[in-house]
Parts: sequence; structure tokens; C-alpha cells
Amino acid sequence: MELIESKFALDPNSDEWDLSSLFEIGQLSATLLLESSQLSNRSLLKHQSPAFMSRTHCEEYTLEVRASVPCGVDMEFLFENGDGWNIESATFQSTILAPGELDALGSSRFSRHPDLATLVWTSKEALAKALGDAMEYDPRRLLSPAAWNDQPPVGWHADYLEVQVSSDRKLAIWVVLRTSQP
Amino acid sequence: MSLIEGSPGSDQSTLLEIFMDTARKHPNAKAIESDHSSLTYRQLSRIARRIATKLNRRGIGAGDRVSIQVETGSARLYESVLGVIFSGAAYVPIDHADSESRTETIKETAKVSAHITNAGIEFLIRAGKRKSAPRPSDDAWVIFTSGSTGKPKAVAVAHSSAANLVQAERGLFCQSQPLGPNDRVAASLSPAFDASVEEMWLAWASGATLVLLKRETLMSGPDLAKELRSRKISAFSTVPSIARYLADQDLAELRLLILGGEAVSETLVAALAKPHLELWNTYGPTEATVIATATLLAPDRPISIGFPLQGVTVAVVNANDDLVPLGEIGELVIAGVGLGRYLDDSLDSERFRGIPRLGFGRCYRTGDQVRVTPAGHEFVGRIDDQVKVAGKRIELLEIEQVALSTSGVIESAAVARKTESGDSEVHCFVVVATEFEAERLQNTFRENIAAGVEPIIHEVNSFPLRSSGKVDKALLLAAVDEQLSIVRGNNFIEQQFRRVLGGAAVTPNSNFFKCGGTSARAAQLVMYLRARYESVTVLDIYKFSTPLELEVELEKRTRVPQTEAPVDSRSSLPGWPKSLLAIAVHLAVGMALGVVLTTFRGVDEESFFSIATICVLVLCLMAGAGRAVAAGLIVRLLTFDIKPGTYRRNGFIHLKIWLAERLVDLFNLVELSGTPWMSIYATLTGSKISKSCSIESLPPVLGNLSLGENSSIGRDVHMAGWNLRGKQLIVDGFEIGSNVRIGNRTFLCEGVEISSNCEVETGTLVNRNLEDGYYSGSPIQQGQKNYWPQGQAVGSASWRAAFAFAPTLLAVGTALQFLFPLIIFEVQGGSTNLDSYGYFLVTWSWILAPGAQIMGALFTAMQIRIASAQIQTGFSPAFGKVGFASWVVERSIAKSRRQYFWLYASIITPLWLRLLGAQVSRGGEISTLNGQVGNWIIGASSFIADDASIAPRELKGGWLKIQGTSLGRRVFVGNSAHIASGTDVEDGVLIGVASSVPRAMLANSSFLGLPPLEFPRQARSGSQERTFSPTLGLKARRSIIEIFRLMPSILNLALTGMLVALVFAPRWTGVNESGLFTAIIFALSYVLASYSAVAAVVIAKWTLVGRVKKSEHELWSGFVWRNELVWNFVESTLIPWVGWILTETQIQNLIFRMMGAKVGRNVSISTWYLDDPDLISIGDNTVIMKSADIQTHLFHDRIMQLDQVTIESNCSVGSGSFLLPGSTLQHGCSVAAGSLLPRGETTPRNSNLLGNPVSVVAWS
Repeated sequence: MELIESKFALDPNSDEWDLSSLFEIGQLSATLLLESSQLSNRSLLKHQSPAFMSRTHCEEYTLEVRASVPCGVDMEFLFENGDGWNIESATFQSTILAPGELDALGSSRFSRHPDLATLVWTSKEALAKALGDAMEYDPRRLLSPAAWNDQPPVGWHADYLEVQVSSDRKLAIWVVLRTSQP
Repeated sequence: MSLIEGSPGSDQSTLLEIFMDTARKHPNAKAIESDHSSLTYRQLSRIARRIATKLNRRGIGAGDRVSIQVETGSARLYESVLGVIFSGAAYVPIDHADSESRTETIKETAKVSAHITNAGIEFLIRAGKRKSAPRPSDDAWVIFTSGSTGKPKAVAVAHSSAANLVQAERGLFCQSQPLGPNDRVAASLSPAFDASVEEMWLAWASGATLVLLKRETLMSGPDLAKELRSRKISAFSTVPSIARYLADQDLAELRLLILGGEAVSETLVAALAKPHLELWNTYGPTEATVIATATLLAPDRPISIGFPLQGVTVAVVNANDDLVPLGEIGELVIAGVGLGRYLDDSLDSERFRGIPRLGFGRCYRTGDQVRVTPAGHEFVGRIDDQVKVAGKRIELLEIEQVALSTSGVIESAAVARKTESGDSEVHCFVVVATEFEAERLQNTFRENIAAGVEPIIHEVNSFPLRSSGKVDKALLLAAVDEQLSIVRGNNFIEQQFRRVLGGAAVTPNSNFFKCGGTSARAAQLVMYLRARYESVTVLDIYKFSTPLELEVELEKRTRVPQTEAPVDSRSSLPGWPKSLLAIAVHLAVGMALGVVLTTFRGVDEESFFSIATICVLVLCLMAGAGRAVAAGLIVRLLTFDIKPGTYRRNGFIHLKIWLAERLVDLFNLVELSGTPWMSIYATLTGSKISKSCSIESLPPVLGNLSLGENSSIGRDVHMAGWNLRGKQLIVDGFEIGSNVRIGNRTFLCEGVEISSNCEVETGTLVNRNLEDGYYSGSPIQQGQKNYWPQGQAVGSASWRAAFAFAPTLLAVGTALQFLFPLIIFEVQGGSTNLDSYGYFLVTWSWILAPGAQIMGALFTAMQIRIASAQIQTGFSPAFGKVGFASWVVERSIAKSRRQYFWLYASIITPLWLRLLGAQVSRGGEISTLNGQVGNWIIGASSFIADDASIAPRELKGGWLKIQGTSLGRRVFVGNSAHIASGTDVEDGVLIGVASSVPRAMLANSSFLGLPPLEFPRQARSGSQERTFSPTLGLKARRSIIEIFRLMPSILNLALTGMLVALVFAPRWTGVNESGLFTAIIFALSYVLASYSAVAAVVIAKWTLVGRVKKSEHELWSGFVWRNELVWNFVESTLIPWVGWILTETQIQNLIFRMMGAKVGRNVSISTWYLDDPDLISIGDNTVIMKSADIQTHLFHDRIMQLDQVTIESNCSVGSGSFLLPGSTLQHGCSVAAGSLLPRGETTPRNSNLLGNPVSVVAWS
């Protein structure tokens, strides 16, 4: 399964969007719902199978994914992070990147993305959530799904989506799934 | 009514009389103990008297005051306090951290006559000699508290009040068994804090020891309990915010815990309560001599501040000084013997104004609101604005006045705020003019306010006002809560919080995530923090989410303690004496061998059977009893006088320990593991080994192991009982309870105690004391216990006896290697001269050595197969047939790894394992390993790297557990990885170096660390032909190269033959019939032969692989095979000839340099596992402990990836730790035992690293 990169603008008249079709993950029984609402812990996907769930918040947006396999989702606004937040920064490299990851990113399909740093971070967070306890993982030891290219680790799948939520704001969303059942 | 009188007090005594009474009764009891020294009561009296004499000679005595500003935690502080009391004067404590201006203010206000500092006594008056003991009415101390005028208030306390307090406490605490010389009272408080008085006199009034703790220890949180345990503290007085660190901790020695200074919560009482612990709550202002009321605390009792002490009367009054009805709230007023006085007379008459109708000529209005309940006085709150911050009382008015004294401040208002952690913090709001500078105001606070209580500054445009016109402080507080307009100075961490959180208000206790922090912002924060704190990680922000918590943690990481301080080569001892000693011992062993051989020189004219007799004698020496007793006695002689403590690296004690360990290696005692001889050896060295124990690893040569009944210590457990840290050698023992299981390859740090019934899993780093439970991992964590059968397993006496003979049984294989050439020699009709036997060995070594090796290996295989056949899976008694058979299997495999190394990491290894009984599918690539080989199923194309542990036997409480294990297809098992018995490893799973694998896993998953964490990884793809599917041609080429793996054994035999020929040569017989000369010649030749072996290995290395560089090679390539061949020379020639004696010497460093490594000056290396030396760089003064593995290559995906490992100067690498390719340990780092630095990582300088994989942790 290939990594996909999608760009999508939301319907401003709605406050709930079913994004699952964009990720082409229907065959894995995954459903993804983005809601523009106050942060809450209530389940967005009330009628879905409760097998595996992951949730992320970004300001007023909540995104939830449920799947029949372990999954992780994370989102961040693009181009809104502070100074030094770029892949060329030595501090970013020593704080976030795994050894050898910079080279892998250089040859990835995202290498020219203007906010690659946010992509890298968000994908690592999504991967850590899919692995179980995100708190256990030091980002410097996880290879970002953004650096997987067309060769994800056996048994893993990652999707990336950019969503235009308003005229000047864009969300970077990563969904990471295990393709094999425990 | 609300007036309660304590029992009658006494006002006729002094502190000096109390101390002298104690010193008379217990002159030799310890009065003070610091980290490095202690003083008895007699010694302390002498020192105090000396100080008093100096003061008296300058005219200072009763009625005078002497200020003391000496570092808290130093013995000098307490000597000075007592010295001033001896002189008759009153002491005036000043916090060591107080500013110069505050110090001057105190000295001036108290009109001190002398000032004592670390530098000595500064006399401020000149007068004639006088000597005067204090009278009860003389002042004992003057302590300064916060004052409403901006100036601190001086409170003087007379000896009569102080003595009353001391006597009251004696009658209050531990009545059933009063404190005495066996008790140890912690002293940790600044003398400027009046509770320090309680610490001192709890000890000195009872003959107990005052144990000095460092202030950072007090603030160290979780480590406080450890410190109290290790210092065996039995009485401790502290504030509840610190006592919370002791909640649910095992503090068996602590029998008195006194709380005070802050409100106590029921939750805390419940968590602290223990049957053996007396828990007290105390209350009192400085003005009433530290404590006025007290009560016992218990979980089922309401919290109160209790009832008055002896000599104290308290009343609860309303604003008109009338007593309030019982149960109603009013101000607490204190009267009686305990009252102090203000040095400022006008203030004194105002604040100590009496209430004649209550019979109080003088009394102190506390400003505290209380009500009387049946359980005692209940504290309700403060009447005025006086608050306690960091244990110090401060008035908000004082803060405001200090602020107003600063240029640019127009108005100020101070408010106190309770933080989420329960502490108080002061916020000072200021309305400012244009010339205002926040930094100047901060400096003003720093100079005028007691250290640690400076307020947080907020600039506002105007103050909210109430209808009365007064500032509405409630609204200001709300503003703090809403985090508006906060500008707090230049605290670096808070600045970075604000920078990331977009200017949000941040206080020291602001939680990052509650202030809008997200994970991405946490990552940004870490980036910014790295400008100052190189070690901070994103996980730290989750663990320490407030600026204060983060600062405490990060500061602890950056403060390298003295014990860890980088070695200064000028101050450390040189390593060359160890090298000289190594050469001497090497020669001595050669002499001993020479003497034995020349003793039998006469038999060369007799028959072959006489020679066989020699062999039988040698076999007896190889048996367990001889080795255990001889080694035990010699080691005891060397180490019996070494006590726990800190010594110098390379000092005399270090040399003795080093020599003892070399002798243990010489006697090859590891072969006695698991037999009764190991327990006997351990007992002879001084360890306390209870019955029915099983010790499968080398016990400490220091004899400092205590092992309870039925406990078992697994294979390759590190328990040296000593460690090198920086320039220091630390020695401490182990206490292990009964029925404990210590799994294989566990690392026991010196000084740990493990309670009965604990189970410690394989590979665990035990760096703290353990209570009953199951533990695993590095860092250690608690988990669910494994199932073990109940009750004691019944072993058989005959099988126990079998273990005693087992070493001899294992020695037979070794003996066969000697016998084989002898038999051939006899069969081919060799001469009866032994020198001709030597020549025979040299001439025919090329065929004899392989023959002997193959015979020995086949015999070992037969032993293992026979033993494996007896083994049933499941639980069985450790001392039974299955126990014995499984022991034979693992010991024989371990032995074969040393003696027949050519069988491992070779194309024939799968065949060898099949011969031993394992089911190994095609395409396996296997190095060295151990475990119950008969129960292994190894899937096709699996890769098992060096020293893997697969399904080993496990012992607990006399029970043995054995279960089968299977590895799926293409499984990769990293170096020293562990696979527990009963685990089925799925296809394609990768287990990292020194890692484990969970019981349940998905196919193709990758695990790293202990406990294992999954890390998805991208598989590398190399040529199939050179990785998984080699052609016949490649197999043939590899086989040809691997034939040369027998070269080391040929070389060894040839060298041995040369030595035999030499010692039995007729020309020596003619020169000196006594044989002594021959023995000397033999010794020199033996050492020469050893170094010739080294030279051969160095030549082999450079010939076979040249200089190794960072590169990649597929498994089926010439470089990989030749590189393995080099390692074969190291394992089979270098280590057997010199490994046992040159470990940790400068000669070893020279050998590594000759093999291509960069090794700096004064480096200490206790391991030979430096793969690919060309890729290793070790800086000056670095220490690498036993079994540490500097790993310069990995074989993931069957591609050998070589990379540099750099260890900079002044680093310490703990026992059994791993540094993986591409890693760099920067200057001054310390890696704990059993830890792993992952591939490609570079550590921050001067960091303390622990765990598998490592994290930076605070220096302890």
C-alpha cells in the first residue's frame, strides 16, 4: 500500500466531515471523522466498532479514527510553528530526528514540502500512538513515516492528508495503521 | 473555655547543661556524622570548647551575640553553634545563601560581636578576656523572621525557653522507647530556620547521632527515602511538602517523624502511617520557641495541631482579647515559659502585650485562627497577610515596601497564592513609571528578602479597587489565575515556555499542557531549552510539565557530583603499578607451572602410565574442591580488610581487588557455578550464604554478599561489589533475602538490598533496594509475578552430591584434549623423553590440534545430548535429575564457547547445534548462544548474534522451570538478547541488542530495549545471493576460509609444545638438576610465549583485514569471514594466554592500540569485547567496566554495517553496557551498568545515562 498525499478543502457550512474515503482505508474498516467543535472527550464515532481508536485535538478541531487494526492519528496546523522549526535547523535535527533520518527525508516524496518539520513531527506522533503508548517513545528513536517513502516497514501503512479548514489555515493530518492483526 | 495550660514547665536549665549531661553519659557515642567523618560527644565538646575559648579570649560571653554563616550540612556549622553556646553568647544564624546586604542588616540589627564563617571567626569588638557560662535567663539564639517594615524582625530566645522545649520534647516523643545513642536524627535544615533547633536538640539531648544531610538531598524527592534508608535515619523532622516523598516508602529504621510548618492532609497521614512509626504534627512560631503545640497523628484521627507543650499556655481569643467559646474560631495566643522576645523593644511591647484578665503578663498573638476540638486545636487560617513560603515566614507588607523602595515603582501590592502542588508563592503587582527596570526590582528583592522567597513580579497599568478604596487583592489573585500580564524576570525556562505558548502567562507552577501546550509545542520547547540544557527531551516535558519541576530536574542533571567528577590525571593515581603487578603475577604463575613440571622431570624415563598419573593429578586440581578452597582462602587474605566505602582508583585497595579477581580468573572459578563449591568459595571469601542456595555466577571477591535461604542467582549476573566512578572506587555489598530469584545477566549495583521472595527478571538493572515483587528492565520497573509452584521443592541428596562432582565431569573433555596427543605420541612409538614429546607437539600440531579439538567437541556434544535426553519441560526440583541435566547442558555449552570457539559464528554452527539436539532449519546463521538447546526450534534463515540467551533454565525457591522455545523464519536475535523460555517468536521478528521480546508479538515486528518497545524499521535489502540464498560456490569459499579457524588451536598447541620441549630439554637438566633454574627459564618462556600469542593475533588482524573502516558488507563476503577469523584469534588465542591477567592494565591498552584502536592516557578497560578496534576511540581517563561491549558492527538484514564508536575523555561505561555503532559518548558522561546507547546517538556532555535504551537522568 502506497503512501498517499491528499489535499482537501472542507465545506465551510458543515462542522463534521467524514474523511475516511480520502485515506482509502475502507478495506481496513477504518473511519475518520473531523469535527469542528470544542475539545471534548465524547466519542465522535458513536456507532463504529470499538476495536481500536485514536484521537487528536488541534485548537477547536477534533479528529478521531477507529479501525479494526491498531491505529494512530495526529494533526497540527501547517506553517504556524515558531522560529527554528525547520528541518535544516541543527536543533530540530538533534531534538526530533533519528540518526540517518535526515538523509531518508531528503530522498522522500515530501523533501520539498515547505513545512516538512511539521509533517515529520505529526507523522511520528501518529506512529507512536499506533504503537501503543505515545509517552514511551522518544521521537529521536522513531523513524518518521514521512521518511518511509514507498518502503514502509512490513505490516505498517501511513497516509497523509492536508485539509484547508479556513482561507488561511491548513491542517497536516497523519494516520498510521498496522496492516496485520495482533 | 478556650484556654488550655500545658503541664508545668521548667525555666531553670540551659542548653549547655543539657549537652554536658549527655556528653557525660555518652562520651563515646557519635554526636555528629557527615558524609566523610563523625565526631563523638567527647570530640564535639572539645571542639566547641576550643571555639568558646577563642570567643572568651576576645571578651565575648554571656549577653553577647555571635552570627554564624556557614554552609548547611557541614559539621562546622554545628560545631560553631555549640561553640557559641559554650562561650555563653547567643548565636545568630544567617542562611549561607542570603545576600550580602541582608547579612549586613542582620549583623547590624543583632549587634553581633563576632561573625563565624567557613573562613573562620571575624571579631567585631575588642575587649578583655572573660569566661562565663550561660544562665537560664541569657539568650541562646536570635533568629530573624520577616518584618512588616521591610526590615527583618529579630527574635531572641532564652536558654530557659530553649531548655524547656528540649525537655518537653523528651517527654513527648517515643515515650515507650526514648531516643538514645542508637538513634540517628537527620539534620538538613538551614540554621536560619528555627526548626533546625529541634533537629539538633532531639539528638544532643538524648545521646543520639545528628546525621547531616545535604540540602539538595532534602529536595531530591524520590531519592530522599533512599538517603534516609542508607543513612539509617531513625528520627526526622520536616515539612509535609517534603514528607510526601516518603509516602508508601519502606523506612524500617525510621521510628519518629515530626511534621510542622505547613498544613498536614489526611491523605498524607494515611500514606505515611506505619505500625512502627510515631508520627507527630507540631505547631509554633519562632516567637514561641519553635514549638508550642503538638499531637500524634494517625489515619483514623482528625488532623489538628494538638495541645500545648509543658510550660506553655494557649488561649483562643476574639478581637477584644476575650476567650471564645469552645469550638469557635478565634486567634491563637501563646503564653508561658516558651515565649521569646523581639530585640526591637517597641515592637516587643506591642506584639507581646499581655492579657491580664487571662493571667498573661506577656503573650504572643500568633495571627493564626484556630478552634478547639476534642482532638486538639484545629488550624483554620491566617488573620493577617503573613505567609510561609519555602518554610520561611514572610509578610506581604514587607514585599510591598521593598518593591516601593525601588526606583520606577509607583504602587505595589503583594498577594499569596496556593499552587497546585500545595506550596505558597508570592506575587507582587507593580504599577510603574517609564524608568522602571524589572531586573532592578528583582535585584532589590534578592538583596532584601530571604533566599528562596522572592516574589513573582507582574506589571499592571492600575490596581482594581474595592468600594472601600483599598486594593482588591482577590481580583489580583484572579488575574494571576487567569495568567494576565505576567512579566517574571528572566527565568530561562519560563521564558521559553512563554516563547512557545505565544506570550501566555507563565508562573513557576504553570503546567505546560494546561496552558495550551501541544505535543508539537513541547517539541519546540525542547529545541529552545537545548540552548542551555543539552539533555532535555520531549518526554521530559511530559514528565516535568511545569517550569519549576523541569528546572529542578534539569539542574540535577547538569550538576555532576564530586564522586562522578571527571578524572583529573594530575590528581588520580597512575595505572602502571597494575601493569607491573600483572607481569609479576604472570611470571609467578609461570614459575609455579615450571616447578610442577620440573618436579616430574624424572618420570620421563618411566612408562606412559606415569605420564598418565601426572594427568590424573592435574585433573584432581581441576576438580571443584581444590579450586574453591584454594581460591577462597587466597582471595580472603587479599580482601578481608576492605570495608564498604570510597577509595581511590588505582590505589592500594583497588590493586588488591584487581589481583583477587585475576586469581579468580586464573582458577577458572566460573566453572563451579551452580555447584556447592561456589557457595563454599563465597563463604570462604566472607560472604554469608544460607543453605539451599544456587549461585551460578561469580560472587564478589570482597565477600560482601549476603544471600538468604533457597535463593538463586542465575548465570552471568554482575555483582562485583565495587565500581569505578570517575576517580573513585566505590565498595559496598549486597543483602539478598530468602527465596529470591535473580535472573541471568542481572546487574546488581553495589549496596542494593533485595527483600525476600523477590523475582528479578533476566537483564534487569537493580540500582535501588527492592521489596517483595517482580522486577524487570533497565531502568527497573515492577510487574506481575510469574507463576511458581507453592511450597519448597524437595531435592534429592544424591543429586546434590552429583553437583559436587560435576566440575570434574566437565573437566574430562578438557583432559581428552591433552590425552589425545599423548596417545598418538605413544602409538607412533615416540621416545620416552618428554622433551621429544614437546618437539612432537610442535611438529604435528597442525594435525594434533584439530584432532584434539574435534575429540573434545564430540565428547561435549555427547555430554549435552545425554543430559538433554533427561530433561522434561515444566517445573521440577532444582536439585534433581532434571536440574542436574539442565545444569550440565548450559555449563557444557558455555565451556564449548570458550574451548571450541571455531564451532560458533561459522557455516557449521547449525550442524553443531543439531548435533547438540536443537531443531535448526536451513539457512540459519548462528553465533554464540546458551540455553536449553534440546528445546530449541530455530526457523529457516534465522540469524542469532553473539551471546544470545534462548530459553535458559530458571530457578526459584528450589524449583526449576524449563520450557521450549521456537523461533520462526527469518528471525533476528541481536547480541546478548534474551528470549525467555516458553516464548514463540513469530516470523521476521527482530530483537535488538541486549533486548528482550514480549510473549505476544506480531510477525515482522522489531523490538528494542528492556522492557522491549516496538520500533518499526525499514528492512534493508542486499543481494539475495550474498545474504539469504548463497550459491554453492560462496559456501565453498566460506568453508575454505573457515578451515583456518582451527589455526589458533594449532598455534596454541605449538606454543605449548615449545614450552614442554624447553622445560624437559636435557641441556637444562645438565645445568641445574634441582630444576629451579629450569623453572625460571620456563617462567620467562611462558610469559614470552604469551606475548608471542599476542603478537600472532596482532599480525593476523593486520594481515587478514588491514585497517577496518566505516563500511557495509553483505554476510556472504570475504571481509565478513576474514573478520570473524580475526575475532577467532582473539577469543581462542589472545584471551586464553593473556586475557586473565592483563585485564584493566596499560598493557591491555597497548594491545588494543596495536590492533588499531585509539586509546587515551590513564584509560581502564575491564573487557576484551572491543569489536573492530580500528573503529574505536577512547579518550583520556575513561573507565570501561567488565563485560561492557563496544559494538562497532551490526548484522541487521544480513548486512554487516560497521561504524565508529567514540568514547570521549573522562567517561565511565558500566558493566555489561553496550555502545552501538555510530554512537558517541561525549566528555564526562557516565553510562550505568546494563544500559545501551543506541546506534548513531550522541550523548550530551557530562550527562548521567541509564537504561536500555539510555535516557539522561539526574546525577545522584
